Amino acid sequence: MNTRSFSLSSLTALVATLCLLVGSGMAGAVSGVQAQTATPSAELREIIRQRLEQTLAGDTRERFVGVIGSVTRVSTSTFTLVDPSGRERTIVIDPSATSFVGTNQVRSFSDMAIESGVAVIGSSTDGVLINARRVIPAAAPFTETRRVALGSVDVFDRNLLTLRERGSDQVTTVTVNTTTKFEDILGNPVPRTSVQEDESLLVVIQEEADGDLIAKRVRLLVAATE
Amino acid sequence: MREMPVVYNVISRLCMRKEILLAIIVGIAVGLGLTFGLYLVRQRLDDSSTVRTIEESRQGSNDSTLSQESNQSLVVQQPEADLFVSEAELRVVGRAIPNSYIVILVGTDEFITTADSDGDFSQTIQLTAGGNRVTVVATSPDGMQETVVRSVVFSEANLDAPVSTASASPSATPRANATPRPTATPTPGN
Repeated sequence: MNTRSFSLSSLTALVATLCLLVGSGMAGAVSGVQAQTATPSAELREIIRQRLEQTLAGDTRERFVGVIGSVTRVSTSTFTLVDPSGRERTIVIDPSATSFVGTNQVRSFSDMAIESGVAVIGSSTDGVLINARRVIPAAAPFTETRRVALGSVDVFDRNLLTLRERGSDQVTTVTVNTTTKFEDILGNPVPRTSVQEDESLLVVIQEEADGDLIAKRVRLLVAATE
Repeated sequence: MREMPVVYNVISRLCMRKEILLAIIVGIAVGLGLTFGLYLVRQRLDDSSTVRTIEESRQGSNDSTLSQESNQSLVVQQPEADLFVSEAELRVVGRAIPNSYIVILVGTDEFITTADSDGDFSQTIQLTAGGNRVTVVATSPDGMQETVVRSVVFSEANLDAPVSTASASPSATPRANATPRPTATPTPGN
């Protein structure tokens, strides 16, 4: 009797354990399936709705874009460029739709050199793949060699302006030449003699190929005095 | 074929025992409870990861400069990224740290303005024919500097005109003898 009672208790425990295991297994399987088909949260639904609207809007109107950049690869029907933000675009050339606005140096697509600058007008839905309508080679790559400095005059001696930059206390010496424009805070031209020591300036600095820094524009951050 | 009655017999005997029946019911109840709990947890995790994925793909579909701008004060509302315009005059509109000095570098020109006390700024610039790199540099009064770059292509060419593959113009200037296509051309705004 005891033996039978013991085996029944064992059997009960065994069945209960099996049920737990089966239930847990089902839990994992069911949650895995249901998670994939789960009802999205309100935030997710809103994002999906916006995305669908954007997609539908994009499908109903042809969006023309203008991109610029440096050529990185050229093939027979496409070329790629990297825009000033570093983003790569693929330009698709359709001979029946793409017009090449050539120059004396660059007369056709095959003349385009790697790292040369180019502007493209075309249609795109995703901003990455662009069906070109016009390809316009540029005389130079679209790089920027100017920078802006805000600071106060440390030394201004004939052709050299030394600026203590605000925020970093970096001292920058730039060359002032005959093309440098001096202006007051409103943009009105002022003589270079208006620049005084410790005066606050905003300077547009051009970095030359040889590393020289040229003051292209010097704006005094005070109104001109009569 | 003899196994079936044996199995039936065993199940009948098992079901006759209250303890076993109770154990089965409790086991199923606990299993279902676990199922629901796991379901809730996975749904929450899945929702958040899906939202993140869509946000990332949306960011990716926009200009990368937009994502660069997300962590900075300088926001250029106009021009939008990858703009094609048929007018040389373009208004640059944005927001920066209040009273910042705004320098817009385009071509060989610089346009300087100042953000107002709310940080808003607006400046009209002149584009050259073809590609234009528009660099907006905002310098706060304490010297903090931020930059946003926009690509703008200006052309008066009629994009519907027949294709000709070589107009050997010495400057990279598109043909300007046709009317622009207003329906397909994003305008620079006012």
